[in-house]
Amino acid sequence: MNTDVDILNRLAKAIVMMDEDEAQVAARQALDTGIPPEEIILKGLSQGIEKASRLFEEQEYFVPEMVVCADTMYAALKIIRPGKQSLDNSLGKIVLGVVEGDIHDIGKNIVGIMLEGAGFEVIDLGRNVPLKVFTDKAIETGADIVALSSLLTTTMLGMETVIEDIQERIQKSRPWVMVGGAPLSQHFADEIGADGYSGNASEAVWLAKSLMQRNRTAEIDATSNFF
Amino acid sequence: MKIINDSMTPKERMQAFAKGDSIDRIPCTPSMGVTLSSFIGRNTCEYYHSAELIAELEIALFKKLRHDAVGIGLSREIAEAMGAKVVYPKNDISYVEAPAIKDINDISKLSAIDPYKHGLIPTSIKALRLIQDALGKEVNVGYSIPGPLTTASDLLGIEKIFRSMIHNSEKIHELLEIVNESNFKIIDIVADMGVGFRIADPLSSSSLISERFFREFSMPYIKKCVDRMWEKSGRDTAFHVCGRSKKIWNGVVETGVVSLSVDNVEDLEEVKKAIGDRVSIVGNVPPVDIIRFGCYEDVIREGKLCIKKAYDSPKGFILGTGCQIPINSPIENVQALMDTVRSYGVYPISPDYW
Repeated sequence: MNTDVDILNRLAKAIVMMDEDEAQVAARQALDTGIPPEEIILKGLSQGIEKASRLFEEQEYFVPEMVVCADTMYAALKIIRPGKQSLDNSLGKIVLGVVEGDIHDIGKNIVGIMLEGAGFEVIDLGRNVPLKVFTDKAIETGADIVALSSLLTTTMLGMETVIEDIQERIQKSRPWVMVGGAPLSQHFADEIGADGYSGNASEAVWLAKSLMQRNRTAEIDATSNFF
Repeated sequence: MKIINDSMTPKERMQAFAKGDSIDRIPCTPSMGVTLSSFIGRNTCEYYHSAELIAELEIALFKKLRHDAVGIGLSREIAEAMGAKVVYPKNDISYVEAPAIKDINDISKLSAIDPYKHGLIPTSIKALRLIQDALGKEVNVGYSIPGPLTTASDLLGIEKIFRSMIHNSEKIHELLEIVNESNFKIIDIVADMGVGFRIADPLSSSSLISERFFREFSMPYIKKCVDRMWEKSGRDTAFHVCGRSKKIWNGVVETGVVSLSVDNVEDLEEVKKAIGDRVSIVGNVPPVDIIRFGCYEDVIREGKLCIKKAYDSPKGFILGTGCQIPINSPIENVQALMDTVRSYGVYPISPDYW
């Protein structure tokens, strides 16, 4: 007899093996068994994507494998969460996009998949995103983090404009800003006032998690000061 | 730092280099082209569309730097000539807005280009002739095309290429064959022009694909281009790959190229140990952190470090940048690369005394 854990493990394995049919069968079975959607996502899908991410870090999996693992994950997700409703207990909300003038989005897509797999809710704005739209969406969604990507040395300079825009327009519960992309560096991130820089997709997940820790601490401090 | 005048022309130097004969100093070939268009007061869009401006830039840069190879090449133009929609911004490199085909099953809609008729290829070839006529006696002129897999990704879209590698690999081979049909047409023309040949292949990077996929989808098609060039002209091919490349160094050498240019994420000492006995190596001052955002002294420091690591590479070492020099890089920093080889790169080279 299949226990809940067995089914979720099968789902995770199907994602790693890039087997869309098997992933959908496992997802359907998980729902039919009565496992809550949140749990299927956080213990089934996330487990699969995290394993794929580790293989990516170890240079066993590369970008094609991550793209197809993501396809597999999304195929299962359509069954688990057909309405794309907000997750109740995600690790945080992240507005993600490639800055204006730049259309290279493979790296951003991989980061998005891995953040979702890790349990974040990702609002992906796509590519060539007008600079002001990052702040617009951050306000609209109450985002915890804004994550900016760029592959070009010319367009990466727009990231500073985004940071200034956020600082000007959001005073309360301002999101953290993290940046990444091939031409970037920690030095550049520091110069433009970003809250964090990650050199690859796995580092991005680690960074997002640690930024969320800072967020909670800051809130606690603010509350203590109030009393 | 004492700068010493060259005692050989760039052409003499590189001809001796190719034979393994002694030369006066380490050669240097900064990777330039469209990103340096402001050097002649032009924007990138103007550059792409004019053979005269393409040639003018190359000639002006050579006049200033007297570097060891001049060259131009194609990036997205082959895919554009085959039906991709390419955008040419005023102040940035070109990019593919819409691929030529939406589905891998539409490969039959593609056909090989006519380099004399389609897209911007005629402009590029005209520029090459102008450059060869103006500079060919003093310096080696080279022509660069994207690797077949890179052009394939422009035609179909990079994500679809990646999906097809896993789900539909026979179709990718079909696509690569037709890309090479276009490439061969270009090679055949270039072969008659007395210029060298280069392949730049970001899609082969280990930052993107596994060694297995490189060997399956890229290597055989690169080899066919290298063989074609050799067959038609008796000349060799150089290769550049962006990002990580260690896993594919041996595979690249197996294609028959004689030179490998690596990005700054790789260590020249490791490259030298792995393949320096079989091919010459080029690289790898960081183009973004150092050439674009650094100062003159930073370039000298990094250039010296590259020389120290690779000057004694058995098949030769050429100082270069890890990848194409970015837009808005100060020309003084490019000059610094040349100043580095004209001081620290002059034989006899003694890094222990620096």
